[in-house]
Order: sequence, then structure tokens, then C-alpha cells
Amino acid sequence: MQHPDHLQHDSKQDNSMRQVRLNQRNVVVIPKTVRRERMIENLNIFDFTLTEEEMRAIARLDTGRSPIYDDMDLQTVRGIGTYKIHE
Amino acid sequence: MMKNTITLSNGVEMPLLGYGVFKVAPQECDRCVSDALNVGYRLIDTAQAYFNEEGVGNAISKSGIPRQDIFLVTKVWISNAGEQKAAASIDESLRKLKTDYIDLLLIHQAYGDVFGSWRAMEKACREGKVRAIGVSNFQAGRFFDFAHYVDIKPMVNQLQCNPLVQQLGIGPVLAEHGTRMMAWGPLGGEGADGVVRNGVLASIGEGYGKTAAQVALRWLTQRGIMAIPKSTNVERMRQNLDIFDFTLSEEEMRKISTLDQHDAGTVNFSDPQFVKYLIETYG
Repeated sequence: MQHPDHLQHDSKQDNSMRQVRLNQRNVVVIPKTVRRERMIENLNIFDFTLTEEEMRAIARLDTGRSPIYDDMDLQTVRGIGTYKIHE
Repeated sequence: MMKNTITLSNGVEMPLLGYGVFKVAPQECDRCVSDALNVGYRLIDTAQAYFNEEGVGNAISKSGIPRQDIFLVTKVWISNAGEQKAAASIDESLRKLKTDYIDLLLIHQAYGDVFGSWRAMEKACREGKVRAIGVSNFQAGRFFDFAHYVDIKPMVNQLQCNPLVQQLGIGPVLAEHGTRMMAWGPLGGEGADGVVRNGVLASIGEGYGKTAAQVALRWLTQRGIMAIPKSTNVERMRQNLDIFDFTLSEEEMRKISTLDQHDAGTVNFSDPQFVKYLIETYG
């Protein structure tokens, strides 16, 4: 959310930074929020289209990996594999 | 002639040093394994995907060496994954190896229905077709994901391991499941070339009249890791076996520990291109 490319985009169009992330690659997304105004905001993304240049700029943000989840990582596998949902 | 052995978690005794036939051509395998048995190897490591199990079987059956003096390892390939297919492939391996039991059977790669394969392997164990079972190339996370859910814990995980690829990270999770490490590529290769020319290993070897390669093999076996160097040259086979008459000092072991370059190996087993390559190359 803090990335300068997002900020730049935000200044050009009237959508919030979070909305910019939820569009156009035909990826089904399931943003979570407990706040009603965010729910509305997250849903309100189909009235604008990112340009190719904007899509390219966003593509450059990719780090190539998930910062929170590596399903080959021992600690991750151990954590999920031993997670108890009932006794 | 069981000397320099370790004991697996189910009590089976296994030699620390053996002869590996990865990349030994099928037509050369009989001769190579005959030479290896001749110079004193009693552990032979092959695999369905090496396409040379028949050569191994021929060499063993005509060697005159009692079957119980030989420790035979083979591996179930990806295309034979799953309970039925793995079971059938075990019988096929027994036929090609001309024997009625395999000492150690491994799942070759962590792909496909490995849990199905394991059930077939557990059954083969109970039926006496196999004495010990394990896995190969299961990286730390994948190994845990497997070992945590199976009834019989893998007795062995065969991984790339040599002084440039030391596999220190996976050690604790193997120990937790009573699993012993076995080293493929003990003298380098697959992106870890240079073991046999390594200056540190060579200079340590000078003190004992040994080569860098012999020091590398001693370092592995002294850590309790089974090693299966491959060579088609009889003189090399002899050298690779001649490592049990010296012991590396703690200082030398420490010096070798600084050579580690790719702790978990040089192969990216979670790269989809690699998985695709394996399946397309070997079926």
C-alpha cells in the first residue's frame, strides 16, 4: 500500500490505492474487511480500466515470492501440518 | 563382510559406503557392478529410472557372493507412483534384479501419489519383499509433510550431499523421524563440481596419503551418512572404497564445514520446469 507507484496512480485517478490492486487480470479476489465502507470500496472497481503502462508499472512490483507463505518451507509446513482445529 | 555399517531405525544394518550406478549405461552396468563387487563393494544403489536394474541383477547373480552379503537399493520412479502401480513396479524390479527381496526401497522423487506408493512399500515390507523403506530428494518441508502423516517413518532420505552441499539444515527434521541421510553426488556434479579438485580437501588428504575425493567420502561416512560414489573405472572404485583406515580430526571436520556453498543442494525441486523435465525425460 505504501509503494510510490500506487501513490502516483492514486493521484491520477479517483480510486483509492486499495482499489487499484483488485482488477483486470481475471483473478478472482476475496478481499477481507470488517468495515462496511471498505466492503463498498473493495466492490467498487469495475468502473475504470488500468492502462497498459499502469499494468506494466504494477508488474514491476512483483518480488517473485510470497513474503508470508512458502509451501516448501519447513517451518510453514510444520506450522500448518500440526495446526489443530479440534481436540 | 558387513563392516563400516550403520543401523536403520527398524534394526536393518546397512553399509556406509556403496557403489552407485546413476548414469551407468545399461550395456556397461553388468561389467561395472561385477568390477565393484570384485573390489569389495557390498552396497549397490540403482533405480527403475536408471534403466540398468537388469545389469545389476546379472552381475550379482553371477558373482557367487551370497545374496545376504549384498545390500541392494532401488527406487520407485514417478511414473510408478500410486499404490497399484508401485506394487507392480516392485515385482518388476525384483524380476530385473533377479532376487526375491530388496534391502532398501526408496521413493525416487517427491511427486505424484507418493502416499499411495508408500502404502505399497509398507505392504512389501510386511511381505518380506523389502527390508527397509525410505525416500529420496524430499526437501525439508516436503519431507516433514510426508513423514508426519505416514505410519512407518522413512528410514532413509537420499539427498545430494558432499562438502559443497552439506545438508545441515535438514538434519534435525530427519533426526526427529529417525531417518538417516544417504548421499547422492558425494563427489560433486549437478552444479557442485570441484569437490575432487578442492584445495582444502586435497591438503587434508596429503596428511593421510589420500585424495580430495577420499577425504570427501570419509567426511560423509564419519558424519554417519551413507555415500554411493559412481565410477566406471576400477582403480577409482578401489580408491573410493579405501577410506576406512583414517579418521578426520575435529579440526579437519571444522575446516571442511566452512566449504558449504549450497546447503540444501543445487537442484530446485519446486521449480515446475524441473518437475516437467523429469517426467518428460524419464516417463
